[in-house]
Amino acid sequence: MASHAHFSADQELQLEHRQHHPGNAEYVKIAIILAIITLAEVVIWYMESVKDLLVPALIIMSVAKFLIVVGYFMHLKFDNHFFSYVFFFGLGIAMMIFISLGFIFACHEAVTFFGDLT
Amino acid sequence: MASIARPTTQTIARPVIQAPSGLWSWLTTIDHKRIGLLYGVTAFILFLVGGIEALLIRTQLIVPQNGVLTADQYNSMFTMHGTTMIFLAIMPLSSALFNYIMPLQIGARDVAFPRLNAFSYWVFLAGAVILNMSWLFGTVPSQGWYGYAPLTDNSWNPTRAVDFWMIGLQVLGVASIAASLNFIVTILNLRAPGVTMMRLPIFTWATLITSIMIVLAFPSLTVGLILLMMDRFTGTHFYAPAAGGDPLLWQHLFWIFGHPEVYIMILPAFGIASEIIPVFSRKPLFGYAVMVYALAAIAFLGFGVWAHHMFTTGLGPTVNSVFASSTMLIAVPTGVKIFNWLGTMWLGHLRFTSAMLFAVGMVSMFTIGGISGVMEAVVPIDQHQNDSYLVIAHFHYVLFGGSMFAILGAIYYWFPKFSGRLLNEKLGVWNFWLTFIGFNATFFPMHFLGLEGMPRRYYSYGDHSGWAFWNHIVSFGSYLLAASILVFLYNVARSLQHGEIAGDNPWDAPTLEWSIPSPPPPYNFREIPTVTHRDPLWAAKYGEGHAEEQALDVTVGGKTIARSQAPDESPAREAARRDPVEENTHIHMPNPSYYPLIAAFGLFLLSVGPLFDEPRIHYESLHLPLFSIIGIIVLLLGVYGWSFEPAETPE
Amino acid sequence: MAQAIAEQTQAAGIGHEGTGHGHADHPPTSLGINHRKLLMWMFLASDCMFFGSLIATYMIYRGRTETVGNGPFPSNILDIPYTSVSAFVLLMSSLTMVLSLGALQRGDLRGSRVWLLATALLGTIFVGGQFFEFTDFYHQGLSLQQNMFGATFFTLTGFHGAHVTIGIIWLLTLLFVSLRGGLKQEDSLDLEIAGLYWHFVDIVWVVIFTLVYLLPYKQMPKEGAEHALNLLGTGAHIIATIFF
Repeated sequence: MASHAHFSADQELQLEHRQHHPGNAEYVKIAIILAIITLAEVVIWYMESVKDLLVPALIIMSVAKFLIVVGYFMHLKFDNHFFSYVFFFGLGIAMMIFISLGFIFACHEAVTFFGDLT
Repeated sequence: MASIARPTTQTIARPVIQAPSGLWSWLTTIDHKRIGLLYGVTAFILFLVGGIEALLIRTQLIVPQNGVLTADQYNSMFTMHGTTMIFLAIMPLSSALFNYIMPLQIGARDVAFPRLNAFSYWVFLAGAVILNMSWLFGTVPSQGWYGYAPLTDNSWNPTRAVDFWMIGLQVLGVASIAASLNFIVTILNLRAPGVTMMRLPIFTWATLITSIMIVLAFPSLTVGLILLMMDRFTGTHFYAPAAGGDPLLWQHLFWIFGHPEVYIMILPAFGIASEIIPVFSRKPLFGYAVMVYALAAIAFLGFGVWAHHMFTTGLGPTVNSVFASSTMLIAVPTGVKIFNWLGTMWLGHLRFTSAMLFAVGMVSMFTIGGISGVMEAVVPIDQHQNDSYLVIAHFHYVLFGGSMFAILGAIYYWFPKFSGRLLNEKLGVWNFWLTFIGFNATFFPMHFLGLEGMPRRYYSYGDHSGWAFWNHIVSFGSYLLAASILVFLYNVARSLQHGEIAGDNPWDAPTLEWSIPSPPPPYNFREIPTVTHRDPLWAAKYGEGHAEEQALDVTVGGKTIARSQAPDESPAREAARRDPVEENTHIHMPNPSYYPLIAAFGLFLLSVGPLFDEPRIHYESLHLPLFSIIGIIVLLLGVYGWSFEPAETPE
Repeated sequence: MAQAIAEQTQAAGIGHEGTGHGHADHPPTSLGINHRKLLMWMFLASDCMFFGSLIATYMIYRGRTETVGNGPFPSNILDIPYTSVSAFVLLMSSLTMVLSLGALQRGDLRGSRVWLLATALLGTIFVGGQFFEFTDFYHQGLSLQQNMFGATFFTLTGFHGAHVTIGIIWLLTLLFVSLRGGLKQEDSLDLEIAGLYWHFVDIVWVVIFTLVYLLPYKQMPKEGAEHALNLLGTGAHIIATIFF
């Protein structure tokens, strides 16, 4: 094995970033937040009174969980921003395409119901 | 999976003066240049196979009511022709050029993951074999390259034909994604000092953007094929309307992949033209930055136009209008590129070598195909032209007139780098004009046939249809096209033996691949170059201001070409480069490895398992294919061997 | 994006010499980031399209899963408390994963192994739970062939389960390597890359849990459904009008 004393550029960058990295205690805190959101998702699912808000609330909460895991556990928040560009570019294209696809099918079914909208 | 690996730098000092030879060295090679050649030769053979299929189609249609092929055979021919040309010819030919040229253009010694690169090639070969294995078993796919549901359904296609097709495509997808991930990392991370993104040659930009498109487009096809596999193997009904499925879902998933795929095939051609035209116009590329942005814009917009393949499926006017306008929008960046090529040639000192002829042919033929494409983006016109020969004319103008012209030009341009010898120019010019005339005779009359209402995919037509005349012309044109390819093959065979010695830089080209010997040594660059200019060799030879000086004309042809040398080197450095004494002191090249081959073979076995009814392991209601089980074991052996291959040889 | 790349390159101001697979002492790279880590992020971006396609398929057929064919249908078979526990288990496996990586980065090999084992175990509990869920559904009459719900549900969650299984094999391999003394502080990148994959599989489940399990299936009254479709259609129309 070669000597490890010599750090390459990216490791130096990583070391630099590591100073801002969360420690174990923070990771546990983040996990508790995630657990609480999951609990909230299940609780709100059972609550009759918030029926109208159920769908938006669920979506907001899962987006929050998604971003917390990506940002903290996957280190995107602290890492080289290039990784964020890569990931969110792919995610963005995927969402753009598949939300439009859902829209197309919804439109299609609307047309079947009502005939042409125009 | 590959990244299970313990870190494997695999750097070992060993003599690298001469490349090892022999079959084993090719099977275990991880040299990007050899892999590029393997891709190129394999793909060109498959291009010939696809060409023979096309000739059979044209022979069937040469006169009305012809009986050369039965209807079923005809269906198989057009299915295999389309699938072969797209997945087994144009894409891998581009991939061959990416492999060979791109690392040289960025001043790298290899790609970022040499073994993954070898794996990509072997998996591609496995996919090609699976698809063409169908000939041996007499169950040739006949549902069309687009595989529309419900034609692929068990009830319509009960034989194994569709299975060969879908599994072959699935395997090819793995190869394409693996190769593309590798190219992206290579371009982003292995650039020589000073090669900033905005100094990359446009061909390398095209490689990068094509690879990004492959990585993002193929998963959609993968899922479409997975759902098809579920339908065929497990009896689900994703695409069967009677049980609540929707055949349109296949079309969407297929074209979400399929339209980016169109740009995956044409962007490399744009890159090639952007390399060739400046060299033979003796001028730097006009509007470099705009060329880059146009490539990126085409790629981005390419993800948002897929439903224009589905205008006649009843999506409704709203959806149709949105997709029609996004499609027309793509004409803008594409037009920008065409004007930039014209701007490059404007007032240049043009040299019409074979490579230049093909590049200019590509620009003009692609423009015709592009314009008929914009016509088809207009929904009412498309509804009239859909499934007629006009569509065939359109996409052959972009795929043959665009991609294949550029690839042939690229072979004329880079052949000296691959082989150390020039292709014969006289034969090359013959080759070009035969191709050009044959191509136009084949595909231009198809516009008329389409407007006269001749439908595509029909194996025959009536005596009184009025289509006989143009069909004669088209078929004779296709024979001419075949003849031009024979001229090309003869030229390659002859020039490999007797071609003029090329020297490092026969064209006086500006990019880094021309600064090293032809063919390049295994390590490419003895010293990694430092680059300070977008066209490094011209900057070194003609000074920084070379962009303003356009009188760079050099004598063409014969011995002048043969004597030309890399212009950026001082005689001392040139001597040092040729001096083999210090050869292995500091160049560390990775070891050859057979694990990629083993892993790819495992994947091959895994994939062919479901294609055969025997041998199977029967357990209760399960019938597990034996080949697949062996394949998984071999694949795991390959992957683990790969991961645990010793990091370094003990010193 | 191009400009961003160019700027970064200039900021890093470095090139490379030779090819490497990204080792602790691998040659500097143009972007100053590791090859393998970049490859993994690219792969995950690609996997977004993969799961995007699968999830889109599920969502497109979602409206039909309640109405077409014979039951069982989602609302009478999905067990929210049971799956909530599964989701929680997988979420916690992400925590143990970062703890394992943190321990390795500090040089705490023993801690790293313990948390790595915990991650693999939690993953196995998740896959085991999915196996029992599938068996249970099958006994209640839901199969791939039964109706659209069966087909879409088993395909989507099945492919996710396959991803988790691959992740478990990967983690166990790393654990084995670690026990043999091959995973040291300077090799933490190996664990980090496996971790990226693992967290990604976790966030895919976050999305699946919401879209497949939690979003209500109770059939909307007919008028409500028409109203919703009408809104969507009108929305599309408005957007198209703005465009032209």
